[in-house]
This record gives sequence, structure tokens and C-alpha cells, in this order.
Amino acid sequence: MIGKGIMEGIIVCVIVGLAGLWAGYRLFGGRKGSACAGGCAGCSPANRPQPLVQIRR
Amino acid sequence: MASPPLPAASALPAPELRVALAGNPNSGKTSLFNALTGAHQHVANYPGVTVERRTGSCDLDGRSASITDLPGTYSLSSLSPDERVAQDELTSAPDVVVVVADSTQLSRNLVLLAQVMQTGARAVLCLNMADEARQAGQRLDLPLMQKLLGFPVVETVGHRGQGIAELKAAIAAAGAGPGDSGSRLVLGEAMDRALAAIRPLLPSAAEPIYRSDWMATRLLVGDPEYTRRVAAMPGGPAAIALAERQRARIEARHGVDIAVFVSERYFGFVDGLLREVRTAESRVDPRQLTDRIDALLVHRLLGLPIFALVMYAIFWLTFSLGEAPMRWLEAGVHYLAARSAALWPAGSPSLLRSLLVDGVLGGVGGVIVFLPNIVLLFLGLALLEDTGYMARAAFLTDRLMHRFGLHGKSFLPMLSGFGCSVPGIMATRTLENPRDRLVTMLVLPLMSCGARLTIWMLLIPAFFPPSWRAPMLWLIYAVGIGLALVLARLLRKTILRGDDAPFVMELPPYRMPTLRSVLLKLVERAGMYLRKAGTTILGISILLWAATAFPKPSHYRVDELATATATTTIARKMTPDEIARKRAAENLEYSVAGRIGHGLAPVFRPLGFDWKILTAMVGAFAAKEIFVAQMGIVYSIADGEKGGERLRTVLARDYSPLVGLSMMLFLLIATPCMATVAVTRKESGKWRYALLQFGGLTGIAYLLSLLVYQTGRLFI
Repeated sequence: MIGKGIMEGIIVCVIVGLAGLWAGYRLFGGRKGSACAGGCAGCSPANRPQPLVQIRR
Repeated sequence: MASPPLPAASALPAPELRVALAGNPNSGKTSLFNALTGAHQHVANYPGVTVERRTGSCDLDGRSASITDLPGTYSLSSLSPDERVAQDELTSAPDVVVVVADSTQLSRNLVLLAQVMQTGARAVLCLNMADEARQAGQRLDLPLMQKLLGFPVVETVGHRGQGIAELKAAIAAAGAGPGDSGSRLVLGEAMDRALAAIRPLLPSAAEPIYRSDWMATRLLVGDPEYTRRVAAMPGGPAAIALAERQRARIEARHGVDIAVFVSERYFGFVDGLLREVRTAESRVDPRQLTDRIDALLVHRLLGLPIFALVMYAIFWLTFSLGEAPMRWLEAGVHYLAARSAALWPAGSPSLLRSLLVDGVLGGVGGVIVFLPNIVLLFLGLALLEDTGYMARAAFLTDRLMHRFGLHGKSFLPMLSGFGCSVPGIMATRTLENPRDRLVTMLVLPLMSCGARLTIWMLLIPAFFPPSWRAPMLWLIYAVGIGLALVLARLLRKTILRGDDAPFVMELPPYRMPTLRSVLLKLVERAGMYLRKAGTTILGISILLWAATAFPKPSHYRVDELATATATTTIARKMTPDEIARKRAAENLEYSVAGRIGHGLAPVFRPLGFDWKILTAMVGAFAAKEIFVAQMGIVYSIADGEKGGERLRTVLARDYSPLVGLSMMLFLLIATPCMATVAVTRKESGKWRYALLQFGGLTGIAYLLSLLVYQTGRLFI
């Protein structure tokens, strides 16, 4: 029988390990260099600024 | 064996129609694109440049069409990356080009139509915002317009989905048409003669677009991009030489620059067309009301103070209205933490309990409680944007920006920087001059981003009384902007020397913001904030918790004390919870995070920072909100305090307002987050600029915080 403390330790290790894998993937894996971790939605097409330039002198 | 009969040619499905949507910025092109394609959209980047490419599909009476939304441009010249992309897309010969024009601004919007006609594309003219033009009294003879242009003309109201069925039918009809729109374009005798001379010399083996009037015009005005391309084709150099002779002839004869001469021909064609088809002019000039408002809001002297006041009002509302919902959320987080902790006996050393209560709820909960403040600030900004006031803010700051060596166009990327530096840096692509682009990119992280707002929401109320909160937030933004201007000036005078290019800005008329548009923006922003809290912040919080929990010391001082003085009053007074907390505090100091913090502490002590602050600052490099999450974890472990107000109380207990100010300055200026460094490297193409941004800003942050803290100590 595994004790409660050991069981909890295993669960914690699994959670921390998964978080580490996820962070590693985000950092070195499938995300492009320009991809943003920001939650501001500034990159959404609707929020993209449009140039205001009209005429060049 | 007999093979199955082949289907008759007529039974084969018609090939997909390639449709490009072109139009000026603010012509409502994107809402039309959304109405045409619905949910069938795909967003990607054009290869080699970071200009967004949006494609979608729709059904046109049984025939499928792929629709590309081109970047909004005023012309097809190839000066900025956006314009180049629009031009390249059009020269890739789509089957139909829909030119979207703002019906209330036809004289300006139809210049692009004239250029598209020159490419010989099968065109459709879509007169968008037709309701506003009709309300103003403008009437157009659409059948006559269609007859004069030789291709379909339809009226639409994009955001209400009106006229979409007619637009689809027009696209289908244009797709089957002859594609000779250029033949209806009249640009005057001098221009016709020049183009007629150049045209026969254009490379005959090239794509049809290279044999069009459009290409002859580009050679005539000396467009460097197309001159280079044509020069590489057989017979190209002869066409270029002839174009140069024609240019010299026109300039000598008309006494104006060729670019001005050609622009005047386009405007002339548009003016003539509108005189023919406009049966009633606008009774009310839509600009009249706008001009009256602008007389005050963009006043030479009052404009900037009014803008500063408007921003102050938004910051004040952010704090005052956000306070109550923040407390509700905080109570919720605290309740959840108490319920979770109650699953274990009091003072339990359980790792899982600490991960759940201190790591997850302390970290993520600490960030989530500021959601109402974030939503309120962006509600204010959305209203300013949708009314058209934000464009005035750009206009007001333009002169100031020029004085500091920044291009006027830098304002918009910098404005996006208040949301997030990453799209802001990507938006610098609208700047043609690489030096302007680099300067803007390097100083842009000084615009206080949305992630840092979470930090201000924690620190400002912790260290400053209620009446100081809005002015302090205002000051933080102002310091960021001021410093960005000074640094831009410095860069322009040293490593990125060069002249700035002046430009004229379009100020769209004021509009009443629609509830739907504002709500959509808010829902999107709140969703993104929560998603980030549930992914990035959660993941990093777990890792940071592990860094604060391991390794564990072999024995604790508090246990020795308890054993040695078991009979004393002090030891008897300590509850299991208190003993557990003291053990946790010892563990924290012994952990990886504690050691990093202690390692950095000697360097940052002159700034007033202790090891706890430093561990949070290191975490903030991953994402700025992590500073709040990490402080939440550290104090949750050490003091059992969770949530914004409780965290604020312990911060106020442990640090002076001077340390708070030093912290805020450092967090505003130093080390842009990981994503910002990565995007600067990508957009500038060189690591050296990303490192200059990282090192330079951190160095300046250190010096300024040192100056403020040490000077402050002389008085306090």
C-alpha cells in the first residue's frame, strides 16, 4: 500500500512535470517567435490599428 | 472492360473564383469581409513580411469563391510593406477585385479604384456605408455609374449585412465578365500619350499585368520595386529608359513632380465621374459637426491638456468603479482557498495542499481579482477608439513626436503598445523608413502594457492613499511616454541618425460607438485575460511554486526552538498553523527562488529591493503579471495571505512607499517580457537590437530607480 503522503508527492511531481513540459514546449516548440503570451487581444484582427496616413509630402 | 463514362465538360464544377477585397483604411472592408465569409476565415502572415493575410470562403450561387482581405491602403504604390503586399496580391491576377469605398468620402476612396482599373482587373465597386451617405442627402445614379465604369456597382451597409446578397451576385457577374476595366479610365491626353509610348516596349513574355497601363504608370513615376523587376526581364531596360524620357518630358512641360502629376490625373478622373453620377450633394456635410467638435478637442493649446484630462478620468474610473467588483472576486478566491485548505488538517505539511492553495490559488487568484479594473480601462479605451477620438490623440501628439525624432506614424504602434508590446512592434511595419521602424520598436516597451496594469493595480493602492491613485497611474503612463520620447531622440542623434518624414493624417468623422462593437471588444479582452490566467499564469505559477518549495531544508529552526523551549510560554502559544507558517518561511529562503533572490539582493539592495521582490521580478520576464502571481505565492506561503487587498496590506507593512515607487519605476522600464524580446529580434532581423533593447532598458531602469530611491531616502 502506498501512503497518502507518497501519493500526494507523486501527484505534485506529475503536475509540476506537466507544467514544465508545457513551458518548454511554449518556449522552444510549436510557437512562432512573434507569438505573444499577452492576453490583451491586441493581435486580434478587430483590434489591429490601421495606418492613418493619407498623403505623403 | 469498359471504363466509366467521363462527365461532360459542362457537368464539371466551375473552378473556385479568387476574389480580392481592396479598400482604404476605415472603409468598412473588414466588416464586409466578415459578412461575406462568416466563420469561414483563416488568418496567416504573408511570406517574408508580418502583414496579416486573411482569407475566407463563400458560396456565390453554387460557385465557391475564396476571398482575400487585402491590407487597407490609400494607393497601390509600393512604399510601405502593407501597400507592397496589396499591390503584389493584385498583380497575382485574382479573378475579381472588389474595391470597397466609404460612400461619404468618395473623392478620396475612388482613387484606389482608378488604380485598380489600370491593372485591367475584373472589378466590382462596393459603395459601403451607403446609409450614412443617404442620410446626409447624397444621391448617386447607380445605373449610370455602372454604365460609365463598365462593371458592377453595389451599395452596402457592411456592419448591418445589408446589400451582401447583391454584392455576391455582382462578384459572380464580374467573374464572368471581359475584364477590361482599364479601357474606361480617362487620365488625359498627356498621360495617355506617355503610356501609349511605353506600353509596346513592356516585356511581352511577362504576365499580362506587366503589359498593363498600371505597370507603364509605375515605370513612369519611377517606382523602384517595379523598375527593378522589369529591368530583369528581356526588353525591360529599353522600357525603363523610355519611361525616364517620358517622365522628363512631362515634368519639363507641366512644371510639377511626376508623382503629383499622376495623382492629379487620378483625382481628376474621380472628380469627373462623381460630377456625372451625383444627382444630389450631401445637404449636411458630415464633417460639419466633426469640425465643430474638433475646434475644441484638437485646439492648438487646449488639445493636449484635454487629452491628458480624458485619460485621467479613465484612470480614475478604473480605480473607483473597479474597487467593489474586485473585492467580490477577492472574497471568492479567499473562500475557495479556505475550503481547499480545510480538506487537510490545520498546519498539515502536505505538498498537494501547498501546491493547490499557495501555488494555484495564490498565483492565479492574485491575477484574476484585477479583471474588473482591466475591463474598465479597456472599456474607456474602446470608447475613445470607436468615437474617433483616438485618431485625434494621434494628431495631437504628432508634432511632439516629430520634435523627438519619431515618425508621426509611430503613434499607432505605440498606442497598441498600451495593450501589448508584441502587436505594437509588429504594427511598426507601416513605417517605410527602417530607422524610424527600429527607433519605434526599441522604445515601444516603455508604453505601459495591459499586463503591467495588473502590477499597478496591486502596488498603487498598497502604497498610496485613494486620492493619489489615479494621479499615480497617470504619472506612470506619462513617465513611460516621456522616457520613450527622450530615448527616441537620443537614438536618432546617435546610432540611428537620419531625417524624419512628415506626413498628413486622416481624421475620420466622429461616430457614436455601437454597444455591440464595444461589448465585443470587452468580451474578447476579458476572455483573453482569463484564458491567459488559466494557461500561462497557471503553468508558470506551478513552476514558480516548485521553485519556492524545493529543495527543502533537512531541519527547521522553528522545530529546534520548539523542542528546546517546549515548556516556555512562547512555544505553548504557537498554534500548529503558526509553526507550519514559520517552517514554510524558512523553506522559502532555502528554496531555488529564495537562493536566486538572495543571490541578486546585494546588487539590488541600493534600489530598496529585497530577495522576495527579486524572485517575483525574475518571474516577470516570462509574463509581467507573474510579478503579482509570484508575490501572491511568496506571501501565501510565508503569511497565508491571499487576494489583492490582503496582499496589498502585507506589502504596505513590509515596504515603504519609496520602495513601492522604486519598484514601479523598475517594472515599467526594465526587461521587456520574453515575447517582446523575441518579436523585436524577429522584426528587426538582428539579435543585436533585441539585446540592446533588453540590456539598455534594464540599465536605464536600474539607474533611474537607484536615483529615485537614494534621493528619496535623503528626505524620508
